[in-house]
Amino acid sequence: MKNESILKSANPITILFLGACPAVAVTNNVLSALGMGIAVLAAMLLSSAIISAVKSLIPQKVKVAAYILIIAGVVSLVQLLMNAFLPDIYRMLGVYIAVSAVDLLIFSKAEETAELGFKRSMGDSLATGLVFLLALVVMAIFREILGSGSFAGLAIPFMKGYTMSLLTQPSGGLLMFAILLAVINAIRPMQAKPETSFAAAASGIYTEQNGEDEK
Amino acid sequence: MEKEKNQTGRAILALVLIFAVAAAAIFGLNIVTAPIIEVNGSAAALAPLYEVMPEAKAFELLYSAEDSAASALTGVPETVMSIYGETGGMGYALRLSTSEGYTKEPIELSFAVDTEGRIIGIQVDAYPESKDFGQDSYPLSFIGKDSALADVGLVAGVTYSSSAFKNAVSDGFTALIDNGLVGAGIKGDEQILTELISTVYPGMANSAGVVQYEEQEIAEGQYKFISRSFKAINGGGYAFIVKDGESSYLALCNVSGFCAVYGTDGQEISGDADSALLDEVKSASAGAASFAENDMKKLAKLLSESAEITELPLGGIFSSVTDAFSVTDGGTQYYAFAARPYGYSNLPMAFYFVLDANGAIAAMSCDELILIPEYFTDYELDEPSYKAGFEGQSADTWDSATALISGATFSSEAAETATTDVFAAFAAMTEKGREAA
Repeated sequence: MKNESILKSANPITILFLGACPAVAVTNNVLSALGMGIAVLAAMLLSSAIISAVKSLIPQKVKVAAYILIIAGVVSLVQLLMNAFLPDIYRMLGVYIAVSAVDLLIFSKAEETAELGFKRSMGDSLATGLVFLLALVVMAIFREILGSGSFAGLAIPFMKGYTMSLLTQPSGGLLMFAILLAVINAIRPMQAKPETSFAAAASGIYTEQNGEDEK
Repeated sequence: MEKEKNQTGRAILALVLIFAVAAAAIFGLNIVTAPIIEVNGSAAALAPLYEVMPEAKAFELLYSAEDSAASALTGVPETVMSIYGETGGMGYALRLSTSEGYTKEPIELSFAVDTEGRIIGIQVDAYPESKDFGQDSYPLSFIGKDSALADVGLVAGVTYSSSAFKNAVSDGFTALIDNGLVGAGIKGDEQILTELISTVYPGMANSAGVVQYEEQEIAEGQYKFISRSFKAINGGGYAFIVKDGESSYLALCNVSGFCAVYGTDGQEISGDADSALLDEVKSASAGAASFAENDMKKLAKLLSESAEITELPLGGIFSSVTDAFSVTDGGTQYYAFAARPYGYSNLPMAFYFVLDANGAIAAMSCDELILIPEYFTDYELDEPSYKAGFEGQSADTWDSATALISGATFSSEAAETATTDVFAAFAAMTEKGREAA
């Protein structure tokens, strides 16, 4: 993992299809994509910190349940904070902030994080969260400029009349998601190709592909 | 065994502790953020008001649909969500949500009026449809207008959304005027007469009551009385605004060449109208293409080969019925009608009915029940069964469920309109019908 590039990391948007939910929903606007990316990053760092701090106190048999509780709690806190201090972005994101808890559960690889040291788990979460944020913003830049003819809500005059409104729709989001996925898969080294199944992703079970981090 | 019990106990305790800490953290943060969130909510509700009245200092809530009992304002239409007064006395700002069921979700809008009741700002806050109705440009046509909304038209091709929007603005004015906050605007005769068309000539309007016409160009000096000419989109007739001296009237002519004149109060005054005026509107409507030849061919398919069909004049009928016929088939007397109500996307449909001498439907047909097949690619309608459902029904026994085509609201409403209009035409035109009526 430490020798892998950022694109090779197990970042959600490139590998796990469940990441498509917020990716499609919030990326028709750069501001909402940025807001979601920051919210997920903050929630990831906070949940990783808490899990690292309390991991030794949690019995093995209830670890997963405990991590779910911690992540759901952290997401609720982030949701409240955004509602209070970033109300415009909160309204744009709507229910998808809460939905991101599911992504976090997968992305944070809680089981794994618990076994890592505090420093490394934070570094891991920071890298994954940043790539998630980057992927959302890249998708949003394309969708907003080409779909709405604007950037971060500001109209681009020369794009007027040349927009593809399909890109602002969920189907356009899936199309852009597929293009991004294709580009990233094309530049990823072959050995890092994911074998994670959709079912595994949906159930929150993640296995590193190269075995380096497998416990 | 004891060790396992301890482990289970520890596990439960750990979960309970985590739950308690998480709940406490959320509870604590909620106490801190709740007032901020409430302020944000109020600011968000007021934001559109400042956009339609940018110079406003502050707003005072006068009415909220959520708590209408607490307001001193009464008789507020349900489209009005809230009414605010500008605290500096500049006027009033309203938030509205359309109620007509022809958009997937309501259109939300805000507008502000000055103390004289003229619109000084208006905007669409939420528009759920994908079809553009000019949500940036259309509201601008309301600026400067009073409650009469003179010369504010509808957007061609998007009449459901634009009429819902216009009606909501009228509802807002109703609330302000009925509660004495602003005075009513005065409508000119021409506006009153144009708005009268949907009432006196319902066959020219779609199922939402929006008149479907195209205005004909009038060359200078072409007519003595006619100042505006509207041709029904379904080809069923004309409406004219006519001026005789200082007075203005509405003249209607159907496809049979029958004309009637109405005053601004909606009363028919044909008997008192200038005969030259009547001659002029009859002459102006004479160019209307007759459907009779085409309709007789269609009706012949519903009858035996030996049936004799004779056209009947449509005296005084301004519904969707465009033709009437007397039919003798095998010695039995029938009446036949063609009706052209508006279906999906305001496109006229064509329905054909054969009624027996008692007014019961003997046969029914339609050119296309689903007008735009590409929108209903996976739609299956058993047309023979659907049409057979109409047979035997009369005005007294009519069940409107017969016209229902699941998932095709506009076609269903058109079929319902055509059927009831035909029953009304039968009642008006035949002795048996008049007796029954």
